[in-house]
Amino acid sequence: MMVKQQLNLNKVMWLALGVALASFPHWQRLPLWIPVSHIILLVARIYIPYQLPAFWSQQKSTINIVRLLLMFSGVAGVYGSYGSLAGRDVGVALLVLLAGFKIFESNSKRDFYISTYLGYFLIITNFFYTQTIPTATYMIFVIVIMTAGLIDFNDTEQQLTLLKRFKLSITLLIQAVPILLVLFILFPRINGPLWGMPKDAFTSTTGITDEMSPGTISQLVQSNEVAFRVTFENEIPEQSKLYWRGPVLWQTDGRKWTTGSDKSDQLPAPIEYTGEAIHYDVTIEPSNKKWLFGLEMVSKLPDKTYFTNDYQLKTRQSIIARQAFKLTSYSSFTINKDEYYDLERGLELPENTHPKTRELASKLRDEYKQPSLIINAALDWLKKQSFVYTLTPPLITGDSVDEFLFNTQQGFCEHYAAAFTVLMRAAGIPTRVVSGYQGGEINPIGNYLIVRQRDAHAWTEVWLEDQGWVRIDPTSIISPVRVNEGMNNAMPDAIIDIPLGLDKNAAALRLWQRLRNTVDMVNYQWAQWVLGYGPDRQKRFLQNLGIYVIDWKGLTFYLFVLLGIIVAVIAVVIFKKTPKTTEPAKKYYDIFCKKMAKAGLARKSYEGPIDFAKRVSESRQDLKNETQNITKLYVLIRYCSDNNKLLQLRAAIKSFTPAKEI
Amino acid sequence: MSTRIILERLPADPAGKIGYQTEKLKRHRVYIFPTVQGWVYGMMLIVMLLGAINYNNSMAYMLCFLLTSLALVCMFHTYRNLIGLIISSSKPKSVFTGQQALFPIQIDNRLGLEKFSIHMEQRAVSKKWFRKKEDIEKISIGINSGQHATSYYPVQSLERGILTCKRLKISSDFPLGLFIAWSYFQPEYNCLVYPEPKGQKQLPLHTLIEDDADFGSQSGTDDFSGFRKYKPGDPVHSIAWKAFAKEQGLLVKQFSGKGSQTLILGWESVLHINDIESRLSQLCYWILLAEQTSLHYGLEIPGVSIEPGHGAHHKELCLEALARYGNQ
Repeated sequence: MMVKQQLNLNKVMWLALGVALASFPHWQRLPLWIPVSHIILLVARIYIPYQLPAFWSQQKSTINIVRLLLMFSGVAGVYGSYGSLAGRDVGVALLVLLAGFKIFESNSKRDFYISTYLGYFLIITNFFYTQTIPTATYMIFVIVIMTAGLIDFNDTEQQLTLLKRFKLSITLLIQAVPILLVLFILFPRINGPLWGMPKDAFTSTTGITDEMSPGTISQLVQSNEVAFRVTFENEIPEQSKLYWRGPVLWQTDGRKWTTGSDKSDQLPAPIEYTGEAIHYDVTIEPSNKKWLFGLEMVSKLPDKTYFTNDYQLKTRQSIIARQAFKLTSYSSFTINKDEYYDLERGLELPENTHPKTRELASKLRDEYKQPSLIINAALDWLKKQSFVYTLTPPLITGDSVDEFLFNTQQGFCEHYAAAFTVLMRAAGIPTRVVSGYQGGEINPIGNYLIVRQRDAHAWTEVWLEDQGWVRIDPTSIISPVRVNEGMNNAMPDAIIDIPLGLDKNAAALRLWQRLRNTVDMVNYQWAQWVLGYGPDRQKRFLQNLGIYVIDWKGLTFYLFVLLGIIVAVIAVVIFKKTPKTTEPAKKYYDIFCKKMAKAGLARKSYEGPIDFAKRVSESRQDLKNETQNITKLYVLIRYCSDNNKLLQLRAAIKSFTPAKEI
Repeated sequence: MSTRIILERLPADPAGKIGYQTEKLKRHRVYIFPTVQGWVYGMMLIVMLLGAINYNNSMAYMLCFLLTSLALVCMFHTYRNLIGLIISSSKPKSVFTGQQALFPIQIDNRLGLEKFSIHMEQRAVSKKWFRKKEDIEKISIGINSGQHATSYYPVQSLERGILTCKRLKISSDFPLGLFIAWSYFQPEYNCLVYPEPKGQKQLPLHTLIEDDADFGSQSGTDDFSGFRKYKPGDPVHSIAWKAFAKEQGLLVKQFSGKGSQTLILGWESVLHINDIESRLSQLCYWILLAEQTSLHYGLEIPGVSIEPGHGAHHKELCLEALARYGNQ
């Protein structure tokens, strides 16, 4: 009967299990010695006090000194591993390590709770690395266990079995869900951050950068990672029109291309849009960069974005979280038709490079004179030569452009774009390289477009009088399939996202693709509605519900009103719960009484079953036999423990349908 | 019928709902407040919320809100774990000074769901905030739905007289320990504390009176003379268990002899002891001794005079007189 303050083995096991499960996903992200020490500490706490109680109690002070020494050396070790004691990764390392030490020293109620709370913090830190559906599911499982641990701790009389403890834990969490939803939907969202974030909060991800040299894009192509997803308001435009514009590259050292000096202070060049508008939503994955990829050519800027002078669409802050943008584009447009603005930059070539290319350029210029004719001639030349579109070009030594154009003739889009640009510049036509993505995969289940890293592409723009900057994609000359049907069809061998063996069975392949599309659709919705639920989406969502709230005050008002209602409903559910009868015969008899009540013969609270049967028999001749039979069976089971009659009773009550009195 | 209380929400439930002699129940309000762990939990939630806002992390928001909702739900469960209990007390068994008095507390759970880990403790009356928690006895009990249970609240008796159990705090922090719901109950009966039996081991035999008459029915101890029906108060060792086993009812073996001896334990026989408590202790010891040796004994102390007698009931009467000496 006495409440024991000391933690028994059972409670320690619960605690250790919960915390170990919460820190488990971190293990792979940490230097090996940290999870190892964490586990050793937990196991030691479970093993020593109960298996070696004498040692534990007699050597208490020695153990304490050793523990403190180990703890300080552990912190020093973290400093040694990371070179600092601040930042996200270090924070997690310290948390995992100290949670182990806390459990090791846990001996009281206070320790138990502090360790549990550390476990909750371990869960939340996991979400700073990954927020996928599997992670969330796993964490729910961990929370169920930790809650069951708390229940076990407070169940001082040990009235609950293991199973019932889990049941109660799950019940509590289920009852919490409606309140959770109200809070999640209505809690006023603020655009973070409130204070600075650790520098390592967002590790670099793959994606297009402001640099291009032979090999950069072909490397990206091997990644199946999603770059962004697009939902079109109307039909999805055809594949060959899907040019997603990214960094525009002007400057070259003969091999590497860069955006050159930052011209963000310059106004965008004049532009004219014609034709039909395309409306769509782009949900971009975190890239830790500032480019937003729009369909050529975006006309209306979303909030917090701007155009550079050469129409790169950029965000003011790096994209560190999945973000959605509403965009409008026109497929036909004219940029910088009249002005000769920045054209010199489009002609620059490093001195004393690419002699063979320059030679070809001057030959073309002399022969065709007019820029548009020169371009066509150059493309013709490309077509006639035996160029190969490949991900694995031979290594180029020496002058990269000359070697490529006149010797190896094997390359990927970046080779073609770079070489074509050099050729055009040498011929006196202003030209620039545009990188980005081309195409995308349609997910028929959600009817949206998935653009992956493997759709990365590079093309060129040339400036022509009266037409402005015009897109020329030399890759489309070499491999029309790439542009018209997408990367998947152009290089099926290079794309490895189909499990081995499945490609031979058409039905299985279809099923696999269907499954994959469904999974991606679920992830997309999850990303849009759960992970991307920020201030903007909150506003949009509430507007769809007919709530036009402008500021956080109004939102708080709604939050409290709805919260009040939901909490009241939950309270009623909890308080109205009545004890379930565990006696099966009573359960059946209650059904019988309910049926009787419906027929207009409610059993009075003071009436025993026999009295009730008597009253029924007197007033309703038609029900007399059945009632008496049921009552007799019930009395036999309940009061004479004749449990063999249970099935008979159930059958009798099941078939019993009393007619209403006329 | 003793006072019973029912733990309830306020305002009171309509009496009819309980469907049970409500007029005999006093309604007691149940209070609820976060525990220390609960406040720390709240602080943890605030830190989590700040983290979620700072990192714009939806799942962090989710976790923070889930734990918030869990606490709210837990609050209702904690409250439900206490309401509907019907609590009453009964008379505790008298004890000798220095022994632990056990106050029986009846908890009736005919109305509610299974109750888990209901704690009972006396409120610390001493205002000393540094008084350690362990000094206060805390007992816990769990009761199934539709059952009732008695638990005994222990109180150390320190001095002779009447021992009262202070108001009990009946509380529960099940299931998560984040909130504590509590109400108060005052056990109605006091515990009689007899003096501690100690002193001279010899009975004061100079006061021994030989009975002249042979009452016959009065119990001698020498020769077996037959059976009679059991009367309450007969010593247990004189019951004829063999006859009881033969289903002949409870019979008492009767002995005849030359009659019994009667001892008057009077104030004058302890006058040589200075301290009143020690005198009472001596008398107490003698009473127990006399009862054990089957003597007839009477008690005469200032204010009380008990005719000689014998048996459990008589013994209790005498001990009670000692316990109440000086303050009735």
